[in-house]
Amino acid sequence: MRKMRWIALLAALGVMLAACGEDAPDDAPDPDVEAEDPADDVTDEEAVDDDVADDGEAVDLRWRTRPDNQQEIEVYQSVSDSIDAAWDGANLEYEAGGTETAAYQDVLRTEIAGGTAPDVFWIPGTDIADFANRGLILDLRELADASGNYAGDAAYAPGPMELLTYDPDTQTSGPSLWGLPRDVSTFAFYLNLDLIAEAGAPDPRALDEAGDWDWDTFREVAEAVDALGDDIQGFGMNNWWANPGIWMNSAGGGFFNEDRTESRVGSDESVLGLEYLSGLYQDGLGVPYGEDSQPPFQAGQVGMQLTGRWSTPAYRENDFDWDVVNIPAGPEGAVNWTFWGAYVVNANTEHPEQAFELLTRLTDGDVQAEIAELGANIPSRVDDPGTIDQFLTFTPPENNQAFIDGLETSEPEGPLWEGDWPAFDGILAPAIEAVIAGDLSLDEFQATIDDQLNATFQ
Amino acid sequence: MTTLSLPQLRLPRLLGPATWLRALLAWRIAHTVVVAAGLWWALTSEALEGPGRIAAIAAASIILLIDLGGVVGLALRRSFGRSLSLAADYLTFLGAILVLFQRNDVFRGLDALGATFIRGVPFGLIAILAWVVTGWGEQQGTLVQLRRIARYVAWFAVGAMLLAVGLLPGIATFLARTAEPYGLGLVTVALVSGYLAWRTFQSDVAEELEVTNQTTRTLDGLLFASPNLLGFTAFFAGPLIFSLFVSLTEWDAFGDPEFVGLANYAQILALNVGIASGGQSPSEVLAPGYFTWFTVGNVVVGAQDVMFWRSIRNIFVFTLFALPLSTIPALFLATLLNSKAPGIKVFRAIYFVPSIAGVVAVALIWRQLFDSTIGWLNYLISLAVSGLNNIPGLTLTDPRIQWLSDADIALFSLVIVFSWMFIGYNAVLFLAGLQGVDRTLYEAAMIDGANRWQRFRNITLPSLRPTTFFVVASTGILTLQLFGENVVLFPTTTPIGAGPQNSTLTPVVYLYEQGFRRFAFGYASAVAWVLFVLIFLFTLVQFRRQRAQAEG
Repeated sequence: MRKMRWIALLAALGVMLAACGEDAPDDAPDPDVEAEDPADDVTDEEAVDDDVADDGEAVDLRWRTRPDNQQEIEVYQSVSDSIDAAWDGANLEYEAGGTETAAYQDVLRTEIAGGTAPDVFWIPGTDIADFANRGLILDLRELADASGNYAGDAAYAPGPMELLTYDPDTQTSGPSLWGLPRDVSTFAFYLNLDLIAEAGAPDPRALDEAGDWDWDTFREVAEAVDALGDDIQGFGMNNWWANPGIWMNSAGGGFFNEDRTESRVGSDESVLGLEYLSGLYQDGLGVPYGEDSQPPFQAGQVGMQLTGRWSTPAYRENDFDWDVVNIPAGPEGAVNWTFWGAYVVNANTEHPEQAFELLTRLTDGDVQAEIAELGANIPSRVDDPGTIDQFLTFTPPENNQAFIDGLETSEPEGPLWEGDWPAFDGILAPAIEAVIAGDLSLDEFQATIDDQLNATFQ
Repeated sequence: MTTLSLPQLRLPRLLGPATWLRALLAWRIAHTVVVAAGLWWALTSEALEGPGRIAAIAAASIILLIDLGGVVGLALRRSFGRSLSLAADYLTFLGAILVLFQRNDVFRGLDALGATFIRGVPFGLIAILAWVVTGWGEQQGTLVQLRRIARYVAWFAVGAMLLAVGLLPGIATFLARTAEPYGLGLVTVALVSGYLAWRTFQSDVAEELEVTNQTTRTLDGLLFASPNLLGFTAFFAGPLIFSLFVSLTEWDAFGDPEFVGLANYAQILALNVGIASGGQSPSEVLAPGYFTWFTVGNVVVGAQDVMFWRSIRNIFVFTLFALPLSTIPALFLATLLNSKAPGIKVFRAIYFVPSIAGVVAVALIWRQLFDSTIGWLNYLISLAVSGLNNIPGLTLTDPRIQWLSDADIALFSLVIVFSWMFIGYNAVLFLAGLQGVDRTLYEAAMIDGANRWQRFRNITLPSLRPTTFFVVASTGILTLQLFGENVVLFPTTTPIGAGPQNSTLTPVVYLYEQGFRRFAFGYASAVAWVLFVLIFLFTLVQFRRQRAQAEG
């Protein structure tokens, strides 16, 4: 027995010491992946760039994204390997973060508090202000000015860049740089063309092309599809802030005033959007608000589903005829959201220069195109029109132009520099749920909501 | 009996006991000075902040107190001086090793070990198989040659496993990192402290101080239990006390906490009542800073933190339904499972399965079942309604229940999931209780003419009181801590898990929202302690009832 104990002890210590091992062979880039890596073309320019750390040695950099599926993980790993191979200045380690529902941001915050967060990570646009105000991410402006690799603020989508360059001290856009947008996305209605044809409703794409795709025709199509049966729904959307938001936006309202320092949810325009939306639900035309509308859409029981570009990879598996169309126009047009997230640099990184260079490499136009081919998002680089032309070829859906049209008239999502976005969202969401369920009248909503929401700006 | 414990190590005794105690006193004084300097640095330095600073101050303070006690005890030549000195050196020894491991990234490496560990698994399996063969051969008392070969194979397989998972590069990296000045310093501290602790522990030193056998046995026991005690302190008691401290602060987990006293508790618990009259709106009759929680007629009850009180209301309603629904059916199920019907063991296992399944997996399945458009529950209800409507004169409407999106129903969907998960577990507990009931009581009651219900009412139930107490108390605590089911069933609501219109917001969901989404760790800790008090009171009431029933 004594020998057994020693064996067990030695094994435990051995395993513990093995944990110190570096550069395990499995960490090496997969040669097969490299051989067929489309990013090889991408890195031609980078290949000649052999920047190294000041002391001439490559530094270790860890970076992380929030992928939605295994395909994305594999593409990001491939991108990381390609950059790593072409860049002598850093050894990259890619970490696939959890999904949104796996509490990606919560885990990240905990790691930042514990000092174990990666050097570079992606966060949603709504979280930028919070991370910046707490000093968790670096202001990259000086690094960008000193960098020869930075393409300039104008090379990226202007909406997100206006918010990413905001300086809370001077309350102006431009002086700061909190990160670089990984990609952008926008809402569209995903259409079950089989159901719409069966209902004899007009094709929303044709309506959109003719300039007749508005709230009235949207309702007509939803009613026609809904009439197909008790188990068929005219439309569906999920219950997070952006979904009711587009109806407020398109009615001329919105969440905030122009300088984003007060609530505008109680304005007549915003309430008009909410009134239209709650009418749809109270007439039973939609998947009940609060239920996940993706499974019934994929099951072929929903005519139109409002969701973002990120749903495309999953919907490519649909066994019915489908496509997308821009959101319908309200009284003030079709005002969409620009969803975005950014790569940012951990304030505690030991290698800020290399971390910023990694940002520039990760947001290179060709790298973005490689990721966008998966279908989940739209490149954030606007300096090369070819990038968007290339995006339009990533089918299905056939009507990729709907996303680009959506971007052209859209509000960029968050961040809320002068307020507390989680608190704002925490008050607004249940109130909208109550209005849609008919538990709170629109009058009462309008009378009380701004006072409650404005308290979150203090 | 053979052990691997420190006292059996054979190391040279450098000095005699009397000299050793004098040297130890000098060392203790030096150690005290160094620890005091470290504490001063931790208190004044800006290099440390947040939890690291607090942990450093707490650790240094504790060791300083032990050191001071040790100095006094050794100076007075009292046995407690030796005990405290032992504790200080032992903790220093362990601390130096842990810091060395942390500096060398051993703990982070353990996280990453999963990538290489799989390569060692085949060899590990061979080693286990070889050990099994060895053991089997020993049981048989024969096959000496086979046992010897199996033993060699086991050793070889363990070695191969360590090599496969990367032992050699691991050792090389560890040694390279340790060879730096900081690492060598830590190794020196560990070796010196370890030797000091060992030498002080020897019997000649104890005899010099006339240490009693009782003290020696206590020290032996403490040393034996120390891995667990230290783990308990570091990972349970420490964080618990830390959270109590944090609850008295405003802290976002990144900077230094700002002490606010009981302000968090005051905000959580503050209530205000007003009477509305003459067309006044509810908010007009409440004191500033209070928001309407609920109204009864013209009486308006307000709170500073309405969300917290809503979570309390939700959890009480949930407990009111979930507790009886997961215990009473379990009792009847246990009486059924207590029979000797053929295949009854299979049924016992089946009913127990939900309680060992993961909360996330269970809730994910229920989320699909509950889907109002394509879920199985509504599908079956629709089928049933269609079937019943075939009966002439009967016209039923398909309710299309919105299990997860109707604020009036969502909490009861949670009750269903929770009860489904715990009925089987509680049934097994009741079953164990039932099998301990004296059968002669039933026989006597049957002779007296008691029917089945009377036997159940007058024998089974009273006999199961201890089991019932445990089931009710443990299930009640679980209901009050409800969290995982909410988060999986309502992942898209704001806050996550709060359900439609906050109808499934529970205290744990709320404190998670405050802590991990809003960075308000002080406030979240205060909510946690309020919840602790509630659970404590609930358990206390159960204990009192149990005691009263036992005495009455």
